[in-house]
Amino acid sequence: MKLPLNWLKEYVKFQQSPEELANLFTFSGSEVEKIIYPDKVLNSVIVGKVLLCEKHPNADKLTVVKVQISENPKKSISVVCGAPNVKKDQKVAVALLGVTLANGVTLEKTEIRGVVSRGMICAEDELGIGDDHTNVIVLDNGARIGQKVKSALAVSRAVFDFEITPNRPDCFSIVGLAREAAALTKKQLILPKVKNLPLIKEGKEIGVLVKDRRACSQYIACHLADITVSKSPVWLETRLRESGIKPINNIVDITNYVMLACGQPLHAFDANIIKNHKRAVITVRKGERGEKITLLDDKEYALGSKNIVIADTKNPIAVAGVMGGVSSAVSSNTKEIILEAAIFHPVITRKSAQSLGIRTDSSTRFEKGINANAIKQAVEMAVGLYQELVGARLVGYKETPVFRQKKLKSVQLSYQEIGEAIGLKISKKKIHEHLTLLGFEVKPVGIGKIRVTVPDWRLDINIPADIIEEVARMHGVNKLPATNMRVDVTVPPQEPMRALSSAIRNIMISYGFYELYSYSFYSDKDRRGDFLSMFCDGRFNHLEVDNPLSSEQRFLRKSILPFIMRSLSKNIALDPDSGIMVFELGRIFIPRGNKLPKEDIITAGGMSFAKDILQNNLLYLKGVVENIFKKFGIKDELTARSVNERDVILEYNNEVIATIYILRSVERDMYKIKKPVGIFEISLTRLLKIESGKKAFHTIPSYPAVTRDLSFEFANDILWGSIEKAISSPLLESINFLNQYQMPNKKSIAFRLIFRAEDRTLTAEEVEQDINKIKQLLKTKFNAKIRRKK
Amino acid sequence: MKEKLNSLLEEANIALARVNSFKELERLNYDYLGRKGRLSMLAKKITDIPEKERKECGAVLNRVKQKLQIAFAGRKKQLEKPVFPKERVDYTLPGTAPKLGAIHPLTTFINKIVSIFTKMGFEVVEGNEVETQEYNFDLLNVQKNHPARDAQDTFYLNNNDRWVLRTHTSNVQLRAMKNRKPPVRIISPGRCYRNEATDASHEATFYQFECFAIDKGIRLTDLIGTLKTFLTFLYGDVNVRFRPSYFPFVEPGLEVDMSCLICKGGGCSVCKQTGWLELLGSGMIHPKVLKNMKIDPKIYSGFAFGPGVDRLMMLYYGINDIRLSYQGDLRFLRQF
Repeated sequence: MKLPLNWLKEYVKFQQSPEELANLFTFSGSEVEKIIYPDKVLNSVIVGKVLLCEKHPNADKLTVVKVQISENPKKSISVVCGAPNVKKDQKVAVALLGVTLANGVTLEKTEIRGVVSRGMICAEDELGIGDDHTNVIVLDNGARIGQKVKSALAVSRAVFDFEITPNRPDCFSIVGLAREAAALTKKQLILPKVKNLPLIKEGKEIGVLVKDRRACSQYIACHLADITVSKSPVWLETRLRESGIKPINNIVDITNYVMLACGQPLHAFDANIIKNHKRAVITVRKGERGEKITLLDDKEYALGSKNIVIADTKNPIAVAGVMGGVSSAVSSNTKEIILEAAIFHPVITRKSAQSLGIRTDSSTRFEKGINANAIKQAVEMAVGLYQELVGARLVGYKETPVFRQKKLKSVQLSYQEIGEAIGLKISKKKIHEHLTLLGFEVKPVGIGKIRVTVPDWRLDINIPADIIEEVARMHGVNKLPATNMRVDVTVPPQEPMRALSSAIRNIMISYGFYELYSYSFYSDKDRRGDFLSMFCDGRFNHLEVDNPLSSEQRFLRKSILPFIMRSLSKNIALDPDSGIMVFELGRIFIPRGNKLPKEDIITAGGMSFAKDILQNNLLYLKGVVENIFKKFGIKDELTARSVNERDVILEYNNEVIATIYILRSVERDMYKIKKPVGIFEISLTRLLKIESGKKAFHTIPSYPAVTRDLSFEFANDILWGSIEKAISSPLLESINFLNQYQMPNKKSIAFRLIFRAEDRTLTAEEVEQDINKIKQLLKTKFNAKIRRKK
Repeated sequence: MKEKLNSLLEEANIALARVNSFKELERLNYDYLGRKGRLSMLAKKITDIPEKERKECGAVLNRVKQKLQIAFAGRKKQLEKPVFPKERVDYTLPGTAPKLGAIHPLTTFINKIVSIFTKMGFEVVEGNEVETQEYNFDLLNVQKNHPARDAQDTFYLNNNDRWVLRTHTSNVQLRAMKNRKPPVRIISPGRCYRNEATDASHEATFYQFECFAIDKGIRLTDLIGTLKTFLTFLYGDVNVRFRPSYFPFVEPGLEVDMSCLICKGGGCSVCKQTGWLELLGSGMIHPKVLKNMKIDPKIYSGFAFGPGVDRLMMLYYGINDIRLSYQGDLRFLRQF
């Protein structure tokens, strides 16, 4: 919402500078986003009078204009002008040589197709007051020649650009902002003077039929005759421009001016709409399927029951509260108009505008809600302006009764409540003053209590908290002291997932992994791909965004791996010589029918390897993952299996808890990954369920251990895991894998056995006995052959 | 005798270490091992020793002699080697320990924020990202026709027309209060989504943290105090200002600005020349929202705020594009 300051000054005689006033507004809740100052060019451009217009000898569309630039009629210059609207005797804005225009161009003497031009007659854009470049600005006849154009245009000292919060529709009008300004500066509000409407006896009666009274709670129609459509006076045009509305003609401009002033949208129809019928009937009804209308934006729209329309006896002539139709538009030939002022329902208007894909100044105001009690003032102001500026005569008037008239609201609360909620005791006197300045009526009721009556323009005030806010903002929230909440001694409980996530991240970075964040959505291709999480099933059972930003972001991820793959690909391409290690800790979304999805927390990661040695790479990543579990005291409880010998699946109680996988080269190619890579994922949601959090301490042994390294030859299909499992002895403390190497058709595995007793030093014989048993076992069970004794 | 032999060996070793030329070595060899050397002199005295111990002394003598011969030979070998200057170390070469990775700056920043609030007695609660319209909007007093609910602002889900991707962390207010009673102080960081075109300062995916407290007698000035404490912890000495504003789930509502970290209030492109940065929306929890939590607004009051983490983080590190966080690009991640 834009507020030209000299318009405001008409309603409030404030003394503050624009900057001071802007601060007052901003710190009371109406944020001035920007102060717009008039362009400097307005100080150097002057008023000129067109003395002569001649066709350019060498160009069809150009005119050679003689302009008088001083009160001395002899002082004139010749200018070549391209605007179609330049005419003899007009007062225009003239920029002389040396003047720098709003677009940055400095004028120099030029020759245009053989004719010298010594200046320029300016259009809106050259003065920085609008976008129009086609037509030159035409000033009022009363403008003094040679005078600065700034005064001739009645330009504001500054214009405020507000960010009005949606709870304050009343501030979407100059009067509304003036009310705030008056309260903030403690000045009186001077409302625009309006005359009461004369009683209409003469003229034709206008029939108005409101079929949907919820959609349109009141409709006022004024029939105005003796209309001459022309340009509006310059001061009015300037105010519209400064408010961001393009001047069109006096009839339309007045509707816009009153809308800006009062917040009440108005519409002017050409009165032909009723003249063509014997008994004029304006109908407010729902749109019908199959109905079409061409609106003022020259586009045809198909209407439906979502739209409320204004119709003549047959056809829609406007979409209520949104935009008028072309068939009933005011034209240069219009002699009589019907002025419409109505209250349309916010939600219905919003849906109607939305269904057509249009937003207008009118529809946004209805959407936000307007003060139904102020409709009369707006009509009176508009009729007054039509009489004064157009010379119109009011010849017909119709006003429908108000549907569900609203009573003034009131709120009861106590002074104490106000002080306690704010945290600062504000005196009764101050509370009264703050509220009264804003238009509230405050009456004491009972001890320490007040009843606050809410003015009709404040649609947002309903409960005591709203009144408290009014007091706080008038006091100045920025002036409030900072306090500490009263002490609460309880220690907050821990969120276990946070602690777990944090620990995992720290482990990952200690291995050299970088944490990344990716999006929660992926594409259909990702959804069908091979890199879905092991922690959910069903490729196609995904949550799907109804209105995704792009098709790449349609499905809620059930795996982080596709993102890991892309990150590996990108980073390897960018930096092929470094090892790339990345991980993410985030959510996957597992649908559960009608219940909200399960949001599991997963860590997934991947790394590149210098060499493509499957077993080494797989075991490296397996080690990383195992160490994480070890950190949380889980190791022996895990079982490992493999589906294709490129992967390891770690399970706890038959539930998958982690997977590790080394990509095949065809899979790498799919993601354009140019190095051997492996990936893994761990379900933190599942880990959290089993993590005990505590590690049990074992006493440091007091007796020495006996260590024996053994090396056996095994057939290739025998797995270390089964060997390890098979070996047991009461004296055996642990078995450590040492190494393995491949021989023709068999493999050699070396491992270390550590024997220890808690209560004594073991004798060589005891240990030797055990070792012999183990050797025997390996021979019989695995057909192993001892290689050497270390 | 034995002691003398041992100390002779010791002395010889010390002397040997000091020898730096063949000439010196030869003389030392003569002194110790020569025919009239110190060892020979000692050996001659062996006859003075009682017979019982003589054998043992002889053994020691031989061992010492052997050791001396080895030591002299060793030293000779060392002297034969080319002479190097003292070993040099280039301590400016890069260290060779395994490289560390790094935690994402958003994680780091969330941890920072959480630790500030846990010190103030706030409990951390996790919230869900797929949410019903009821919890994301209705119970938070966001009316059915509120523009925030438009499809151009909110992601809706195909699977259930009541579901959305949460547009803020405020859903946690209601979720957390389902099994808690005041007094509570809760902080809940998490991922949120808004359906908007992305550019350097807008992301459809972003992080927020919800922070709220409910108790008897929580005041507007407590909100101001908590926010000031938080921002001072986070950014050090900054100016903070408060303006009335409107958010459906609070009343009164406050907008919080902080003096621009980049220009320190002088005006720059980051703060659009105003010297101030709009930081966050906050306010006293709306009585309707309290009622929706089954809390009596006549007895209890509370405050709430929910700033975006991305922007706070970007300001802290001076990052100029919000999207960088979500690209998995090591050129970005390695900097933290």
